[in-house]
Amino acid sequence: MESELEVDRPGRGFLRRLLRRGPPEQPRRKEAVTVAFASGKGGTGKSFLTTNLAIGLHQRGLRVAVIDCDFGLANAHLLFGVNPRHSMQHLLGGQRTVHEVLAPTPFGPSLVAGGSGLSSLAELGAKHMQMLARALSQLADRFDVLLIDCAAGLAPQSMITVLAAQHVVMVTNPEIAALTDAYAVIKCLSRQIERPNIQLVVNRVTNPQLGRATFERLSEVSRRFASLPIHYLGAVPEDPSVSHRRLGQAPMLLEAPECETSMALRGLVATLEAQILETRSQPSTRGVEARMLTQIRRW
Amino acid sequence: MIRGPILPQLRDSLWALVSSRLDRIETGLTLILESLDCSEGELGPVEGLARDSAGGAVLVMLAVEGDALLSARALSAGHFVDRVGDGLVRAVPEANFCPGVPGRVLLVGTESAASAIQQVCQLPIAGLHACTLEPFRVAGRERFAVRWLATVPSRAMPSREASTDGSDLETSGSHGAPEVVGGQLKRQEFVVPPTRADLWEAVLSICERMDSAVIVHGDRFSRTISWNGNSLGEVRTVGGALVASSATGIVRDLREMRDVRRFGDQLLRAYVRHAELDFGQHDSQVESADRDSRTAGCLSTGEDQDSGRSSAPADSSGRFAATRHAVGDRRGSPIGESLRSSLAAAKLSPEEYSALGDPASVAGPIIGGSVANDRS
Repeated sequence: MESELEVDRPGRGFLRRLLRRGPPEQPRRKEAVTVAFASGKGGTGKSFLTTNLAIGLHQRGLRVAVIDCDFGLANAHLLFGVNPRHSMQHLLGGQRTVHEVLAPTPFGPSLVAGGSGLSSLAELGAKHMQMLARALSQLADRFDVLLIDCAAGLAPQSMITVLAAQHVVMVTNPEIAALTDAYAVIKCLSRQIERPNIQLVVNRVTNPQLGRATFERLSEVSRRFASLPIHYLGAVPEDPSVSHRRLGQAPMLLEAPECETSMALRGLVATLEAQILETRSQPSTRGVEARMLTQIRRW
Repeated sequence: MIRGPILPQLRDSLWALVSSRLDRIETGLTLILESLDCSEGELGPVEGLARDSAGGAVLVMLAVEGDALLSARALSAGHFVDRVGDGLVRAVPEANFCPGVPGRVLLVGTESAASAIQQVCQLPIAGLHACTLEPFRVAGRERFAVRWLATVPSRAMPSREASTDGSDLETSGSHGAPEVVGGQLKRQEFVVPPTRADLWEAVLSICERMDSAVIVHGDRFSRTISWNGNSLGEVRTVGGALVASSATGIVRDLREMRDVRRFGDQLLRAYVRHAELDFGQHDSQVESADRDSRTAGCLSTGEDQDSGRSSAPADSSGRFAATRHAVGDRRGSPIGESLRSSLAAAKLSPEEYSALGDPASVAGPIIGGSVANDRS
């Protein structure tokens, strides 16, 4: 067969555009680092950790927003001691913008409350998730860190939110039920194209060695069966005063700063902050909205 | 003794070889029937009746050395095609010929019959295409190359009332005399549906801008776009459609400029990969995401690949990047799987339960149902 077309003009146009978007350009302004708090089993302490770590990061000078994505069963606003007029329900219903829904808390971080108008995750369709992605993107332009309190379990909506984050703090307890459910989430994450950085927090440990031992067991299984290494963020000791806290009380980190639990929380804050700052120092990544939309497409 | 490659000179042997490989001579050429007598038995039958990629009838004739009736038979075949026209559509319904597409005569011969073919090419036969097969031996096996000699454009069909949008085909090039340089056809015209001609021009424009070494070549119904010997993609005429396939196997019907842009994007990705202008994982990730979206095929989020933000490359260094492993590192995790498939596959195996320290009889993981217990 004979050659037909031999063009001697140099490459330009499409190729130049493609080349231009190759090496990452320094953005004019850094987008917030997104951290999702996830767990396989409910009741492991995600909201407790989210609120306290948000306060800790705020105390270290970061602009922090907490987004309560435990739709319908949200309680982060209770832990912050606020009762916002507008919540995620209004945002996803299109009645309020994200800036109107965003509420300040007395302890520094801002909050997008989860609300109780949506009875279950199953009611959230692709359109809602796209609205959430857009909202997260808008928030990411205003803050340094977004902490997303995700729903427990493997619901697709929950996984989409988790996969939109750059760091995932997996919260578990030493019990076997929580451990297996946490591993199920890790296994699901291991099958994704873009896998976030997974940090494990073992909550409610009765001794410091138990946290490390729990991590090592889960890490070994994860590496062996899912080919996904996880990192150890730390452990939080069992503290009866946490579960006996009443409405209106200040978060643990502020009310009892010298207790063992607060000390452990501050350790988590320091480690997480270092990772957040390191992520922010890296070249620009795809934005949270793009990451989330990619997952919505794969739904 | 060293034996050179040979093609059979006997008509039957040559026809057995050619009839099984018509698609190698011209993309999409399919044999319908053998032995078509269109000269009332006086000149002998034409070897085959075939259907080309545009849906037109093609009378395939063999030219062998010493065939005294070759010119007469070719002339007769040409007149038959010209005379019958759309009549073959009804007469040979199993061929699914497209009404309004002019018929052709394809003359295939060996090098030994080249002079006879040249004589036939001098005859006023509308729609005549002629080629010779040049055999060669490689790795101990015989193959043949197709050398096109001449072509004469078909006459327009006398009546086009039966013409439909999909079958209304014309050549994209000139309808004048064929471009014959030194007895050899310089180029094979690419048949493009008139409604898609602008799209093909857009594809060519992209190829021109990509790199000066990008070459577009092919036969009457296909064009392969290649760079430095590496195929970047292919465009074919199938019926009334223009079908493009990328090097990664993505096939799309070019119906509007958006399809062309997407195909152009695939061409560029293939070019960048071959030219080693790769930027790390970005391309593979985006391609994987493309495949994912095709597999899932459920949502259009409006996130265009060409849009800046969503297409910005992933970071390639640091702790964050270190944990985003290469696609190939994963075990048992197909790239194209949807999110729901991933969730379904998250069920723990007995071995995993055992490794976590619990008997294998424990039930599977929760699937989105335990949120009611979350009162943290």
